Amino acid sequence: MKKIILLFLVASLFVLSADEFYYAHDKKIEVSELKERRNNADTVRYYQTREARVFGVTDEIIVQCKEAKNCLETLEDLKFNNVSRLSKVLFLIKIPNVDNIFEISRKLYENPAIVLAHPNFVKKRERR
Amino acid sequence: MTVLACSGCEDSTTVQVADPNTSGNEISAEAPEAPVETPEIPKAPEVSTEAPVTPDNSIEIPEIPKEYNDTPEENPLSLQDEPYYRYAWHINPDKSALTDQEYQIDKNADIHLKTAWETTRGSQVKIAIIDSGFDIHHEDLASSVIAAHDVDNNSSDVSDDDYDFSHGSACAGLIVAPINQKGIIGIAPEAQLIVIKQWSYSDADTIRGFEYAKEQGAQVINCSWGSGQVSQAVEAELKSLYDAGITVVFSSGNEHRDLDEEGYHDESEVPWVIGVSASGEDNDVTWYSNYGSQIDILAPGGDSLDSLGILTLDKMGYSGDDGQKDLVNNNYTFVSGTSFSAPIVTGVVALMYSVNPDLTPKQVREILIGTTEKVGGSELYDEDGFETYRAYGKIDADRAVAKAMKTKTIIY
Repeated sequence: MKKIILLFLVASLFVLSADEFYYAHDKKIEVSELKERRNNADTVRYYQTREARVFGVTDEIIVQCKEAKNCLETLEDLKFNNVSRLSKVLFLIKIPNVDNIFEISRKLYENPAIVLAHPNFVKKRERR
Repeated sequence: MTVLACSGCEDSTTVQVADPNTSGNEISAEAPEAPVETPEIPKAPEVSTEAPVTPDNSIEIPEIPKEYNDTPEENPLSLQDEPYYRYAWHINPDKSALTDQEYQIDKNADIHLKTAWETTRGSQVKIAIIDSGFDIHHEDLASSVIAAHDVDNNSSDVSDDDYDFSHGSACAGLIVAPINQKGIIGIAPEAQLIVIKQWSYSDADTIRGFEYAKEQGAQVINCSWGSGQVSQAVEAELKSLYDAGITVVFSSGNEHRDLDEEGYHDESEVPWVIGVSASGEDNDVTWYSNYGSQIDILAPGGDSLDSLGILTLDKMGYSGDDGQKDLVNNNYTFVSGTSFSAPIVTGVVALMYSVNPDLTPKQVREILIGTTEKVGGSELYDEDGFETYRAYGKIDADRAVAKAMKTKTIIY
Protein backbone atom coordinates (compact mmCIF):
# COMPACT_ATOMS: atom_id res chain seq x y z
CA MET A 1 0.00 0.00 0.00
CA LYS A 2 2.85 2.34 0.90
CA LYS A 3 4.49 1.55 -2.42
CA ILE A 4 1.34 2.44 -4.30
CA ILE A 5 1.05 5.75 -2.47
CA LEU A 6 4.71 6.46 -3.14
CA LEU A 7 4.34 5.69 -6.83
CA PHE A 8 1.27 7.91 -7.01
CA LEU A 9 3.16 10.76 -5.39
CA VAL A 10 6.10 10.39 -7.77
CA ALA A 11 3.77 10.28 -10.78
CA SER A 12 1.91 13.32 -9.46
CA LEU A 13 5.17 15.19 -9.06
CA PHE A 14 6.01 14.44 -12.67
CA VAL A 15 2.59 15.65 -13.80
CA LEU A 16 2.94 18.80 -11.75
CA SER A 17 6.47 19.38 -13.05
CA ALA A 18 5.81 18.45 -16.69
CA ASP A 19 5.94 21.81 -18.36
CA GLU A 20 4.63 20.97 -21.79
CA PHE A 21 2.80 18.41 -23.81
CA TYR A 22 1.99 17.53 -27.40
CA TYR A 23 -0.41 15.13 -29.08
CA ALA A 24 0.47 11.92 -30.88
CA HIS A 25 -1.98 9.21 -31.96
CA ASP A 26 -4.70 11.03 -29.98
CA LYS A 27 -2.69 10.74 -26.80
CA LYS A 28 -1.29 13.53 -24.68
CA ILE A 29 2.48 13.19 -24.35
CA GLU A 30 3.80 15.15 -21.38
CA VAL A 31 7.34 16.41 -21.50
CA SER A 32 9.72 18.34 -19.29
CA GLU A 33 12.47 20.56 -20.54
CA LEU A 34 16.03 19.66 -19.72
CA LYS A 35 16.90 23.25 -18.92
CA GLU A 36 20.47 22.39 -18.06
CA ARG A 37 20.99 21.58 -21.73
CA ARG A 38 19.72 24.94 -22.93
CA ASN A 39 22.37 26.77 -24.88
CA ASN A 40 21.80 30.15 -26.49
CA ALA A 41 24.01 29.19 -29.40
CA ASP A 42 22.01 26.05 -30.03
CA THR A 43 18.64 26.25 -31.72
CA VAL A 44 17.64 22.88 -30.31
CA ARG A 45 15.83 22.62 -26.98
CA TYR A 46 15.84 19.29 -25.20
CA TYR A 47 12.98 17.59 -23.43
CA GLN A 48 12.25 14.25 -21.91
CA THR A 49 9.09 12.19 -21.68
CA ARG A 50 7.67 10.47 -18.64
CA GLU A 51 9.61 7.38 -19.68
CA ALA A 52 12.81 9.44 -19.73
CA ARG A 53 13.06 9.38 -23.51
CA VAL A 54 15.07 12.43 -24.54
CA PHE A 55 14.55 14.38 -27.72
CA GLY A 56 15.18 17.82 -29.13
CA VAL A 57 12.87 20.32 -30.80
CA THR A 58 13.65 23.12 -33.22
CA ASP A 59 11.53 25.95 -34.56
CA GLU A 60 9.73 23.66 -36.98
CA ILE A 61 6.47 21.71 -36.84
CA ILE A 62 5.51 18.77 -39.06
CA VAL A 63 1.88 18.72 -40.13
CA GLN A 64 -0.41 16.39 -42.04
CA CYS A 65 -3.78 17.69 -43.21
CA LYS A 66 -6.92 15.64 -43.71
CA GLU A 67 -7.01 16.90 -47.29
CA ALA A 68 -3.45 16.78 -48.53
CA LYS A 69 -4.13 18.63 -51.76
CA ASN A 70 -5.49 21.66 -49.89
CA CYS A 71 -3.00 21.62 -47.06
CA LEU A 72 -1.01 24.64 -48.19
CA GLU A 73 -4.19 26.68 -48.42
CA THR A 74 -5.35 25.39 -45.06
CA LEU A 75 -2.11 26.44 -43.41
CA GLU A 76 -2.19 29.78 -45.16
CA ASP A 77 -5.68 30.36 -43.80
CA LEU A 78 -4.25 29.67 -40.35
CA LYS A 79 -1.70 32.42 -41.00
CA PHE A 80 1.33 30.18 -41.51
CA ASN A 81 3.46 31.61 -44.31
CA ASN A 82 6.71 29.75 -43.97
CA VAL A 83 5.58 26.31 -45.12
CA SER A 84 7.42 23.76 -47.23
CA ARG A 85 6.39 20.35 -48.48
CA LEU A 86 8.18 17.28 -47.15
CA SER A 87 6.15 14.68 -49.00
CA LYS A 88 2.80 14.17 -50.67
CA VAL A 89 1.07 14.43 -47.29
CA LEU A 90 3.54 15.99 -44.85
CA PHE A 91 4.44 19.65 -44.53
CA LEU A 92 6.98 21.57 -42.50
CA ILE A 93 6.10 24.86 -40.86
CA LYS A 94 8.78 27.21 -39.58
CA ILE A 95 7.67 29.39 -36.68
CA PRO A 96 9.34 32.55 -35.40
CA ASN A 97 10.02 31.38 -31.87
CA VAL A 98 10.85 27.95 -30.49
CA ASP A 99 9.35 29.03 -27.15
CA ASN A 100 5.85 28.48 -28.57
CA ILE A 101 6.53 25.22 -30.36
CA PHE A 102 4.33 23.00 -28.20
CA GLU A 103 1.50 25.49 -27.88
CA ILE A 104 1.32 25.96 -31.64
CA SER A 105 1.59 22.22 -32.25
CA ARG A 106 -1.35 21.62 -29.91
CA LYS A 107 -3.51 24.28 -31.51
CA LEU A 108 -2.83 22.84 -34.94
CA TYR A 109 -3.60 19.33 -33.76
CA GLU A 110 -6.90 20.51 -32.29
CA ASN A 111 -7.93 21.94 -35.67
CA PRO A 112 -10.39 19.59 -37.38
CA ALA A 113 -8.55 19.95 -40.69
CA ILE A 114 -5.32 18.52 -39.25
CA VAL A 115 -4.41 14.83 -38.81
CA LEU A 116 -1.09 15.23 -37.05
CA ALA A 117 1.00 18.12 -35.80
CA HIS A 118 4.10 17.88 -33.68
CA PRO A 119 7.52 19.46 -33.48
CA ASN A 120 10.22 18.38 -35.89
CA PHE A 121 11.87 16.10 -33.36
CA VAL A 122 15.60 15.59 -33.17
CA LYS A 123 16.18 12.15 -31.72
CA LYS A 124 19.34 10.19 -31.21
CA ARG A 125 19.60 7.35 -33.64
CA GLU A 126 21.82 4.30 -33.33
CA ARG A 127 23.47 2.20 -35.94
CA ARG A 128 22.76 -1.42 -35.15
CA MET B 1 37.79 -8.93 -32.80
CA THR B 2 34.23 -8.62 -33.92
CA VAL B 3 32.54 -5.32 -34.56
CA LEU B 4 29.19 -5.48 -32.80
CA ALA B 5 27.36 -3.26 -35.18
CA CYS B 6 27.62 -0.01 -33.27
CA SER B 7 25.26 -1.02 -30.54
CA GLY B 8 25.19 1.97 -28.23
CA CYS B 9 27.38 3.99 -30.55
CA GLU B 10 27.24 7.70 -30.14
CA ASP B 11 26.81 9.95 -33.12
CA SER B 12 30.49 10.36 -33.79
CA THR B 13 32.16 7.76 -31.72
CA THR B 14 33.75 4.55 -32.55
CA VAL B 15 32.27 1.20 -32.93
CA GLN B 16 31.61 -0.97 -29.92
CA VAL B 17 34.03 -3.81 -30.05
CA ALA B 18 32.88 -7.22 -28.99
CA ASP B 19 36.25 -8.42 -27.77
CA PRO B 20 37.51 -6.13 -25.05
CA ASN B 21 40.92 -7.77 -24.81
CA THR B 22 42.41 -6.67 -28.08
CA SER B 23 45.36 -4.37 -27.67
CA GLY B 24 46.90 -1.90 -30.04
CA ASN B 25 43.62 -1.09 -31.68
CA GLU B 26 42.71 2.53 -32.14
CA ILE B 27 39.03 1.82 -31.96
CA SER B 28 37.70 2.55 -28.53
CA ALA B 29 37.02 -0.81 -26.93
CA GLU B 30 33.97 -0.44 -24.79
CA ALA B 31 33.56 -3.80 -23.15
CA PRO B 32 30.23 -5.26 -24.02
CA GLU B 33 27.80 -6.42 -21.43
CA ALA B 34 28.21 -10.01 -20.43
CA PRO B 35 26.21 -12.33 -22.59
CA VAL B 36 22.68 -12.64 -21.42
CA GLU B 37 21.68 -16.13 -20.57
CA THR B 38 19.11 -17.28 -23.00
CA PRO B 39 15.97 -17.23 -20.89
CA GLU B 40 13.68 -20.18 -20.57
CA ILE B 41 11.35 -19.80 -23.49
CA PRO B 42 7.77 -19.36 -22.28
CA LYS B 43 4.81 -20.23 -24.42
CA ALA B 44 4.60 -17.52 -27.02
CA PRO B 45 1.65 -15.16 -26.43
CA GLU B 46 -1.15 -14.92 -28.95
CA VAL B 47 -0.34 -12.04 -31.19
CA SER B 48 -2.46 -10.16 -33.61
CA THR B 49 -0.71 -10.08 -36.94
CA GLU B 50 -1.40 -7.69 -39.75
CA ALA B 51 -2.22 -10.58 -42.00
CA PRO B 52 -2.87 -14.16 -40.97
CA VAL B 53 -0.04 -16.49 -41.75
CA THR B 54 -1.18 -18.98 -44.32
CA PRO B 55 1.55 -21.48 -45.10
CA ASP B 56 0.28 -21.96 -48.61
CA ASN B 57 -1.58 -19.07 -50.18
CA SER B 58 -0.60 -19.64 -53.77
CA ILE B 59 -3.34 -19.00 -56.26
CA GLU B 60 -1.84 -20.10 -59.51
CA ILE B 61 1.60 -20.35 -61.07
CA PRO B 62 2.03 -17.54 -63.56
CA GLU B 63 4.28 -17.89 -66.53
CA ILE B 64 7.44 -15.99 -65.71
CA PRO B 65 8.12 -13.37 -68.39
CA LYS B 66 11.45 -13.77 -70.17
CA GLU B 67 12.83 -10.49 -68.82
CA TYR B 68 12.75 -11.89 -65.26
CA ASN B 69 14.85 -14.84 -66.26
CA ASP B 70 18.38 -13.57 -65.73
CA THR B 71 19.94 -16.95 -65.37
CA PRO B 72 23.52 -17.28 -64.28
CA GLU B 73 24.48 -18.74 -67.66
CA GLU B 74 24.48 -15.20 -68.93
CA ASN B 75 27.10 -14.27 -66.38
CA PRO B 76 30.39 -15.94 -67.21
CA LEU B 77 31.72 -15.56 -63.68
CA SER B 78 30.72 -18.12 -61.10
CA LEU B 79 30.33 -17.96 -57.35
CA GLN B 80 33.60 -19.80 -56.96
CA ASP B 81 35.38 -16.89 -58.65
CA GLU B 82 34.67 -14.73 -55.63
CA PRO B 83 37.68 -15.07 -53.33
CA TYR B 84 35.78 -14.83 -50.05
CA TYR B 85 32.56 -16.59 -50.90
CA ARG B 86 33.91 -19.60 -49.01
CA TYR B 87 33.77 -17.65 -45.73
CA ALA B 88 30.24 -16.38 -46.26
CA TRP B 89 28.47 -18.94 -44.07
CA HIS B 90 25.29 -16.87 -44.16
CA ILE B 91 24.80 -17.67 -47.87
CA ASN B 92 27.18 -20.50 -48.72
CA PRO B 93 25.83 -23.99 -48.01
CA ASP B 94 29.40 -25.30 -48.12
CA LYS B 95 31.04 -24.55 -44.78
CA SER B 96 34.14 -26.66 -45.40
CA ALA B 97 36.50 -23.67 -45.58
CA LEU B 98 35.64 -22.89 -41.98
CA THR B 99 35.59 -26.36 -40.47
CA ASP B 100 39.24 -26.26 -39.44
CA GLN B 101 38.87 -22.80 -37.97
CA GLU B 102 38.05 -22.18 -34.33
CA TYR B 103 34.48 -21.12 -35.11
CA GLN B 104 31.58 -23.51 -34.92
CA ILE B 105 29.24 -22.93 -37.84
CA ASP B 106 26.06 -24.96 -38.02
CA LYS B 107 25.70 -26.56 -41.45
CA ASN B 108 22.18 -25.10 -41.74
CA ALA B 109 23.06 -21.58 -40.61
CA ASP B 110 22.78 -20.11 -44.11
CA ILE B 111 19.62 -18.69 -45.66
CA HIS B 112 19.27 -21.30 -48.47
CA LEU B 113 20.00 -19.25 -51.53
CA LYS B 114 21.13 -21.87 -54.06
CA THR B 115 17.87 -22.45 -55.89
CA ALA B 116 16.86 -18.80 -55.74
CA TRP B 117 20.12 -17.82 -57.42
CA GLU B 118 19.47 -20.29 -60.20
CA THR B 119 16.41 -18.20 -61.03
CA THR B 120 17.44 -14.64 -60.32
CA ARG B 121 20.20 -12.44 -58.95
CA GLY B 122 18.06 -9.37 -58.57
CA SER B 123 18.50 -7.64 -61.88
CA GLN B 124 16.15 -4.74 -62.68
CA VAL B 125 15.47 -4.07 -59.01
CA LYS B 126 16.40 -0.80 -57.35
CA ILE B 127 17.32 -0.91 -53.70
CA ALA B 128 17.86 2.11 -51.47
CA ILE B 129 19.88 2.15 -48.31
CA ILE B 130 19.74 5.00 -45.78
CA ASP B 131 22.73 5.18 -43.48
CA SER B 132 25.43 7.40 -41.97
CA GLY B 133 27.87 7.24 -44.88
CA PHE B 134 29.28 5.10 -47.66
CA ASP B 135 32.53 4.32 -49.40
CA ILE B 136 31.03 4.29 -52.88
CA HIS B 137 34.43 3.80 -54.49
CA HIS B 138 34.89 0.45 -52.77
CA GLU B 139 35.99 -2.18 -55.28
CA ASP B 140 33.01 -4.38 -54.37
CA LEU B 141 30.36 -1.65 -54.39
CA ALA B 142 31.20 0.99 -56.97
CA SER B 143 29.66 -0.73 -60.00
CA SER B 144 26.32 -1.23 -58.22
CA VAL B 145 25.68 2.40 -57.23
CA ILE B 146 23.34 4.33 -59.54
CA ALA B 147 22.61 7.32 -57.29
CA ALA B 148 24.12 8.90 -54.20
CA HIS B 149 22.63 11.70 -52.10
CA ASP B 150 23.46 13.39 -48.81
CA VAL B 151 20.13 14.60 -47.43
CA ASP B 152 21.52 16.61 -44.55
CA ASN B 153 23.70 18.76 -46.82
CA ASN B 154 21.75 18.35 -50.06
CA SER B 155 24.83 17.15 -51.93
CA SER B 156 26.11 14.02 -53.63
CA ASP B 157 28.96 13.49 -51.16
CA VAL B 158 27.94 10.47 -49.12
CA SER B 159 31.34 9.70 -47.64
CA ASP B 160 31.58 8.75 -43.99
CA ASP B 161 32.38 11.63 -41.69
CA ASP B 162 34.79 10.68 -38.99
CA TYR B 163 34.67 6.97 -38.34
CA ASP B 164 36.90 4.34 -39.75
CA PHE B 165 34.27 1.72 -40.17
CA SER B 166 31.82 2.42 -42.96
CA HIS B 167 28.57 1.11 -41.54
CA GLY B 168 26.66 1.99 -44.70
CA SER B 169 29.15 0.20 -46.94
CA ALA B 170 29.07 -2.89 -44.74
CA CYS B 171 25.29 -3.04 -45.04
CA ALA B 172 25.32 -2.24 -48.75
CA GLY B 173 27.86 -4.92 -49.61
CA LEU B 174 25.72 -7.61 -48.03
CA ILE B 175 22.89 -6.62 -50.36
CA VAL B 176 24.52 -5.97 -53.73
CA ALA B 177 28.22 -6.81 -53.90
CA PRO B 178 28.57 -8.04 -57.49
CA ILE B 179 30.19 -11.19 -58.85
CA ASN B 180 33.43 -9.58 -60.02
CA GLN B 181 36.28 -11.75 -58.74
CA LYS B 182 36.64 -9.45 -55.77
CA GLY B 183 35.70 -9.98 -52.16
CA ILE B 184 32.18 -11.03 -51.37
CA ILE B 185 28.80 -11.56 -53.04
CA GLY B 186 25.66 -9.74 -52.07
CA ILE B 187 22.27 -11.44 -51.84
CA ALA B 188 21.14 -9.56 -54.97
CA PRO B 189 24.41 -9.06 -56.85
CA GLU B 190 22.75 -7.74 -60.00
CA ALA B 191 20.46 -5.23 -58.33
CA GLN B 192 21.03 -1.48 -58.49
CA LEU B 193 21.81 0.56 -55.41
CA ILE B 194 20.73 4.04 -54.32
CA VAL B 195 22.78 5.23 -51.37
CA ILE B 196 21.35 7.92 -49.13
CA LYS B 197 23.37 9.51 -46.40
CA GLN B 198 21.05 10.85 -43.71
CA TRP B 199 22.20 11.15 -40.12
CA SER B 200 20.98 14.49 -38.79
CA TYR B 201 18.53 12.85 -36.34
CA SER B 202 15.78 15.23 -37.47
CA ASP B 203 12.38 13.81 -38.39
CA ALA B 204 12.11 16.17 -41.36
CA ASP B 205 15.43 14.98 -42.80
CA THR B 206 14.43 11.36 -42.17
CA ILE B 207 11.31 11.93 -44.24
CA ARG B 208 13.34 13.67 -46.97
CA GLY B 209 15.61 10.61 -47.12
CA PHE B 210 12.69 8.28 -47.66
CA GLU B 211 11.21 10.63 -50.26
CA TYR B 212 14.47 10.65 -52.19
CA ALA B 213 14.49 6.85 -52.23
CA LYS B 214 10.94 6.85 -53.57
CA GLU B 215 11.73 9.46 -56.24
CA GLN B 216 14.65 7.37 -57.47
CA GLY B 217 12.38 4.38 -57.95
CA ALA B 218 13.48 2.21 -55.04
CA GLN B 219 11.33 -0.87 -54.53
CA VAL B 220 12.90 -1.77 -51.20
CA ILE B 221 14.64 0.40 -48.61
CA ASN B 222 17.12 -0.82 -45.99
CA CYS B 223 17.42 0.92 -42.60
CA SER B 224 19.96 -0.63 -40.24
CA TRP B 225 19.33 1.88 -37.44
CA GLY B 226 16.67 3.07 -35.07
CA SER B 227 15.76 5.58 -32.37
CA GLY B 228 13.43 3.68 -30.05
CA GLN B 229 10.97 6.57 -30.30
CA VAL B 230 9.56 6.80 -33.77
CA SER B 231 7.33 9.84 -34.23
CA GLN B 232 3.85 9.96 -35.70
CA ALA B 233 5.11 11.88 -38.75
CA VAL B 234 7.78 9.30 -39.57
CA GLU B 235 5.18 6.57 -39.12
CA ALA B 236 2.93 8.42 -41.54
CA GLU B 237 5.79 8.53 -44.05
CA LEU B 238 6.39 4.79 -43.64
CA LYS B 239 2.67 4.18 -44.22
CA SER B 240 2.83 6.30 -47.34
CA LEU B 241 5.74 4.21 -48.68
CA TYR B 242 3.82 1.02 -47.86
CA ASP B 243 0.79 2.31 -49.77
CA ALA B 244 3.07 3.19 -52.67
CA GLY B 245 4.23 -0.42 -52.89
CA ILE B 246 7.66 0.06 -51.35
CA THR B 247 8.95 -2.43 -48.76
CA VAL B 248 10.98 -0.94 -45.92
CA VAL B 249 13.21 -3.13 -43.76
CA PHE B 250 14.44 -2.14 -40.29
CA SER B 251 16.84 -3.86 -37.93
CA SER B 252 15.50 -4.37 -34.42
CA GLY B 253 18.54 -3.53 -32.29
CA ASN B 254 21.11 -5.30 -30.13
CA GLU B 255 20.20 -4.74 -26.49
CA HIS B 256 18.15 -7.91 -25.87
CA ARG B 257 15.31 -5.52 -25.19
CA ASP B 258 11.64 -6.36 -25.10
CA LEU B 259 10.36 -3.90 -27.65
CA ASP B 260 6.82 -4.25 -26.30
CA GLU B 261 7.79 -2.39 -23.15
CA GLU B 262 5.80 0.72 -22.35
CA GLY B 263 7.24 3.96 -23.65
CA TYR B 264 9.49 2.36 -26.22
CA HIS B 265 8.30 2.49 -29.79
CA ASP B 266 10.92 1.57 -32.34
CA GLU B 267 10.91 2.00 -36.09
CA SER B 268 11.27 -1.79 -36.48
CA GLU B 269 7.90 -2.23 -34.75
CA VAL B 270 5.90 -0.03 -37.10
CA PRO B 271 3.24 -2.15 -38.88
CA TRP B 272 4.32 -0.83 -42.30
CA VAL B 273 7.86 -2.20 -42.16
CA ILE B 274 9.60 -5.55 -41.81
CA GLY B 275 11.39 -5.79 -38.45
CA VAL B 276 14.47 -8.04 -38.41
CA SER B 277 16.39 -9.67 -35.59
CA ALA B 278 19.54 -11.74 -35.86
CA SER B 279 20.36 -15.43 -36.08
CA GLY B 280 23.86 -16.69 -35.36
CA GLU B 281 26.39 -19.26 -36.40
CA ASP B 282 24.51 -21.83 -34.34
CA ASN B 283 21.42 -21.32 -36.49
CA ASP B 284 19.33 -19.86 -33.70
CA VAL B 285 18.40 -16.40 -32.44
CA THR B 286 21.35 -14.43 -31.07
CA TRP B 287 21.58 -13.51 -27.41
CA TYR B 288 21.64 -9.78 -28.15
CA SER B 289 18.69 -9.41 -30.52
CA ASN B 290 15.81 -7.22 -29.50
CA TYR B 291 12.45 -8.95 -29.67
CA GLY B 292 8.75 -8.27 -29.50
CA SER B 293 5.36 -9.00 -30.94
CA GLN B 294 5.96 -6.71 -33.92
CA ILE B 295 9.26 -8.18 -35.08
CA ASP B 296 8.84 -10.34 -38.14
CA ILE B 297 11.83 -12.45 -39.00
CA LEU B 298 15.41 -13.49 -38.26
CA ALA B 299 18.34 -13.34 -40.64
CA PRO B 300 22.03 -14.07 -40.01
CA GLY B 301 23.74 -11.34 -38.04
CA GLY B 302 26.53 -13.28 -36.33
CA ASP B 303 26.63 -14.08 -32.64
CA SER B 304 29.45 -11.69 -31.68
CA LEU B 305 32.10 -12.19 -29.01
CA ASP B 306 33.84 -15.47 -29.79
CA SER B 307 31.99 -16.17 -32.99
CA LEU B 308 33.09 -15.45 -36.54
CA GLY B 309 30.50 -12.89 -37.61
CA ILE B 310 29.22 -11.96 -41.05
CA LEU B 311 31.75 -11.13 -43.77
CA THR B 312 31.18 -7.82 -45.49
CA LEU B 313 32.90 -4.67 -46.73
CA ASP B 314 35.26 -2.60 -44.65
CA LYS B 315 36.36 0.89 -45.58
CA MET B 316 38.84 0.45 -48.45
CA GLY B 317 42.38 0.24 -47.23
CA TYR B 318 41.49 0.89 -43.61
CA SER B 319 43.79 -1.14 -41.43
CA GLY B 320 42.82 -0.08 -37.91
CA ASP B 321 40.21 -2.72 -37.26
CA ASP B 322 41.08 -6.31 -36.61
CA GLY B 323 37.90 -7.78 -37.99
CA GLN B 324 39.74 -9.63 -40.74
CA LYS B 325 40.31 -12.69 -38.50
CA ASP B 326 43.44 -13.44 -40.55
CA LEU B 327 41.17 -14.65 -43.32
CA VAL B 328 40.53 -11.62 -45.51
CA ASN B 329 42.31 -8.44 -46.57
CA ASN B 330 41.74 -4.97 -45.12
CA ASN B 331 38.97 -4.13 -47.56
CA TYR B 332 36.68 -6.62 -45.84
CA THR B 333 35.78 -7.43 -42.28
CA PHE B 334 33.65 -9.70 -40.11
CA VAL B 335 30.89 -7.96 -38.16
CA SER B 336 27.93 -8.80 -35.95
CA GLY B 337 24.60 -7.18 -35.22
CA THR B 338 21.05 -6.80 -36.42
CA SER B 339 22.40 -4.05 -38.69
CA PHE B 340 23.60 -6.86 -40.93
CA SER B 341 20.53 -9.02 -40.64
CA ALA B 342 18.30 -6.35 -42.19
CA PRO B 343 20.37 -6.12 -45.43
CA ILE B 344 20.11 -9.88 -45.87
CA VAL B 345 16.34 -9.60 -45.74
CA THR B 346 16.48 -6.58 -48.05
CA GLY B 347 18.47 -8.60 -50.55
CA VAL B 348 15.97 -11.46 -50.47
CA VAL B 349 13.11 -9.00 -50.93
CA ALA B 350 14.95 -7.68 -53.99
CA LEU B 351 15.14 -11.21 -55.40
CA MET B 352 11.42 -11.58 -54.79
CA TYR B 353 10.66 -8.35 -56.61
CA SER B 354 12.83 -9.42 -59.52
CA VAL B 355 10.64 -12.47 -60.14
CA ASN B 356 7.39 -10.70 -59.31
CA PRO B 357 7.58 -6.90 -59.36
CA ASP B 358 3.86 -6.58 -58.66
CA LEU B 359 4.11 -7.91 -55.13
CA THR B 360 2.69 -5.57 -52.53
CA PRO B 361 4.61 -4.99 -49.27
CA LYS B 362 1.82 -6.89 -47.51
CA GLN B 363 2.43 -9.88 -49.77
CA VAL B 364 6.18 -9.59 -49.34
CA ARG B 365 5.76 -9.80 -45.58
CA GLU B 366 3.27 -12.66 -45.75
CA ILE B 367 5.57 -14.64 -48.02
CA LEU B 368 8.62 -14.03 -45.86
CA ILE B 369 6.98 -15.04 -42.60
CA GLY B 370 5.12 -17.92 -44.22
CA THR B 371 8.23 -19.58 -45.60
CA THR B 372 10.67 -19.35 -42.70
CA GLU B 373 12.77 -22.05 -41.10
CA LYS B 374 11.57 -22.57 -37.52
CA VAL B 375 14.95 -22.35 -35.85
CA GLY B 376 15.20 -23.57 -32.28
CA GLY B 377 12.54 -26.19 -32.94
CA SER B 378 9.05 -25.91 -34.41
CA GLU B 379 7.48 -26.90 -31.09
CA LEU B 380 8.49 -23.53 -29.66
CA TYR B 381 6.26 -21.58 -32.02
CA ASP B 382 2.57 -20.88 -31.44
CA GLU B 383 -0.30 -21.73 -33.75
CA ASP B 384 0.40 -18.60 -35.79
CA GLY B 385 4.00 -19.67 -36.25
CA PHE B 386 5.35 -16.97 -33.92
CA GLU B 387 7.77 -17.21 -31.01
CA THR B 388 8.64 -14.37 -28.63
CA TYR B 389 12.39 -14.25 -29.31
CA ARG B 390 12.50 -15.83 -32.76
CA ALA B 391 9.59 -13.97 -34.35
CA TYR B 392 8.34 -16.14 -37.27
CA GLY B 393 11.71 -17.84 -37.68
CA LYS B 394 14.75 -17.49 -39.93
CA ILE B 395 14.43 -16.32 -43.52
CA ASP B 396 14.54 -19.00 -46.21
CA ALA B 397 15.44 -17.38 -49.52
CA ASP B 398 14.74 -20.37 -51.74
CA ARG B 399 11.23 -20.83 -50.41
CA ALA B 400 10.49 -17.10 -50.35
CA VAL B 401 11.54 -16.58 -53.96
CA ALA B 402 9.66 -19.69 -55.09
CA LYS B 403 6.51 -18.47 -53.34
CA ALA B 404 6.99 -14.99 -54.81
CA MET B 405 7.00 -16.53 -58.29
CA LYS B 406 3.74 -18.31 -57.58
CA THR B 407 1.92 -15.38 -56.02
CA LYS B 408 -0.47 -13.48 -58.16
CA THR B 409 -1.43 -9.94 -57.21
CA ILE B 410 -5.11 -9.22 -57.72
CA ILE B 411 -5.71 -5.59 -58.57
CA TYR B 412 -9.21 -4.39 -57.80
